[in-house]
Amino acid sequence: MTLNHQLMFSIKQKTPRFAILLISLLYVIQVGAQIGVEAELAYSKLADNTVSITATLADMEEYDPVIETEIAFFSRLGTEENFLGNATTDEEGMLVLEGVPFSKLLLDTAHRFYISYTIPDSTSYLAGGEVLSFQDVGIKLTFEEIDSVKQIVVQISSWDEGGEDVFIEDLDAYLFVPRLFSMLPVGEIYTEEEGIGMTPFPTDLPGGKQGEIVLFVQIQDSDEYGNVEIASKSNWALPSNGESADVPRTLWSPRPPMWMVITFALLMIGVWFHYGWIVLNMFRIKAGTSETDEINYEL
Amino acid sequence: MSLMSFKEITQQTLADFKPQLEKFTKKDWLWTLSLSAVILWGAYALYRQITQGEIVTGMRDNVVWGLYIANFIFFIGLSYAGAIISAILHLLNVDWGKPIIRMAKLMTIFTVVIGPIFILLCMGRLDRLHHLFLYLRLQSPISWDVIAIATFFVGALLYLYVSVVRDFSILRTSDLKMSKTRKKFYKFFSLGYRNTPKQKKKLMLSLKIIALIMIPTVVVVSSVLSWIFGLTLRPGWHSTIFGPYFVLASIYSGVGVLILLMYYFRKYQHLTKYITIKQFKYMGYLMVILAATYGYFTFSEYFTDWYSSEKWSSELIHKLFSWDEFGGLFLFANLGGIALPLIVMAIPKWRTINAITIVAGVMVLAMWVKRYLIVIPTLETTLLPMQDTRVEYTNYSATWVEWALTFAGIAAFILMFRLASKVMPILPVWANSEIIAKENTIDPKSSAHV
Repeated sequence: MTLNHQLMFSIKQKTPRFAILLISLLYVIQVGAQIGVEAELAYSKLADNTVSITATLADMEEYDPVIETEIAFFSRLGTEENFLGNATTDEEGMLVLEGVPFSKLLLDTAHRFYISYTIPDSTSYLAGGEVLSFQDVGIKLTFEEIDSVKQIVVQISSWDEGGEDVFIEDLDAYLFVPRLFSMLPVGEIYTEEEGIGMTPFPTDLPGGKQGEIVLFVQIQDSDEYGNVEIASKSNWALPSNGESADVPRTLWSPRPPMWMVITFALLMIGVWFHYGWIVLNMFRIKAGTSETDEINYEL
Repeated sequence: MSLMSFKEITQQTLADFKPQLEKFTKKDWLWTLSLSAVILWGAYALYRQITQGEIVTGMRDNVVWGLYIANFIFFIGLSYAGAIISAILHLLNVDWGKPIIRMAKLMTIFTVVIGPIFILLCMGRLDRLHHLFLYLRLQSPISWDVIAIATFFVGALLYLYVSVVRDFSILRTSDLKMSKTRKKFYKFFSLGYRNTPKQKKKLMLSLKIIALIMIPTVVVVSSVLSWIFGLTLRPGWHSTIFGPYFVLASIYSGVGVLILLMYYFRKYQHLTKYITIKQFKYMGYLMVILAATYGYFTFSEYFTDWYSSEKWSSELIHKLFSWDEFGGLFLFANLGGIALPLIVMAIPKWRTINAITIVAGVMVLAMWVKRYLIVIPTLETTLLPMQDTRVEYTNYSATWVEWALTFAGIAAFILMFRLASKVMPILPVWANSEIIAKENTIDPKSSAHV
């Protein structure tokens, strides 16, 4: 009988209390060996109504990054809990959890939500008690012509404890349009009465063929609302010049100029025809050989 | 001199290459192992680059091209040079050029294999290489280059092959000690050539046509390479002279490398009978003509940029003339690449084999430096103001990985030449035998005895 078997046997036979005590002791030792973790959390609600959570985790002893560790995120409200997803930290202790549907967040009557995290299956780290808490906002983006001036109108509201709409005043929001590599800032608004802020639509903004454009409104780094964005389409931008898209020598134009195609084709046909002819000639040389191996050394 | 038949002359010429073709000596093994070690070092560097990414090179966001692209231009330039030099010498039927034609053709093949490898090393997403063919945009100079190099490669292979058929037929029927496999190889590739009037006519015509095709092909492919740079709006690149400048620079550096190859094989394969001071002097004269023309192009290029004082161009010119930046390299490129060949070849008593070879060596190095100076200073001259950026993003510095792969390329070039000289005579046996016959005969039409 092995030592383990002997131990288990004695535990079962003698007293169950001993087993409970031993397990509790082992748990305390294990927990005691874990290092506390500190996390910096950030929340963004994107225009497609999904949520992204970014976190930077460091241990609380040496402030070294918590690397390659899986973190689980939850939305909690009272006793209810919704699992949002898992993400793994990189070499710098950073992670991003993307694409979480906003509907997964548990909201109270004032549309406030709470996001917490755990470090599942880790014997090394113990999650800190940081909780993200933000209030959801409603952003309404419209395009209105006021006194013959095309205006971008933004109205931002939230909810009170009773679930009634409350307009948010004195808040900055930023306007962007997506471009090839990044978002191009095109303006800024400040909400006043009834949570409304407005700014003239830029007159020099190039859009699609009919002047269509997608405009983003973002609330950035708000202590109360986090990062929130919405997007809306407009056709007030400058229509792109159809002719410029057809410049034939640009890489993005649909086809190269005809003279280029013809020249290229002629060159290729000319060169490859001669290659083919020479290869054929080589075969003819081979076809003309006889059984004798003797070389004719006549000059 | 006793009268010899043409057959005897060819056998005697072939006998001069026998030691190289029959034996793989200890010295050969030593060379092969040493060069392989350098190539393996490069392979290790490549492994590091593949596993860790291009961060192990000095290339960054702004200076996106470095040593690799300089090597690419250099090697591919040598390739174009080999093709055009051998084609011109062949078409003009220059007797003194016959001993070097095969070296030029081999140089074409080896460098057109090595050169494009360097362009692949520059690519961040090699896994998307096939996109070049799947989504080819005919309006892109990069597409032109891919097509041009592929076409040129096939042409160069064909050119070499057509010209070695006669020598393979001699080797097939020779009494050289060789394995059965090798004998089969010569038999297969000699196409049963027996120099019958019909075969001779077909072969000579094919050789003439492929030589003729290679000349415009080289001009086109070399110009296409230059347009990858010239058709951009960057200072130092956006130049109307870039096409001919690249063609000329290619031929010029090719002449230098050919002189080095002539020296190497003359000395180590004891070919003093075939490669004489005559070849060195004539190649030296060619070097002088090209140096003068290249010098004129260089002056014209930089003088125009300097005089117009356009902001970006001035910034670039300042870098090239500044001792703290590229001044030293720029001076070396011009002194070694232009002035030195002109000075040395101008003095008759300096026109010796050793002096011409040393000048060619310095010139080749200077021409490589020139390629470096075409690429790096321009990329370091950023179009937009750069603030609060890391130094390595705007200032290029080659890493050991890039140097290892550069030396691996050079080692591969030398190794290929050494191995090729074990498979075929490094000089064309038939063509050289014809010269010997011509020099010693009254009636070149005579078949039996000359």
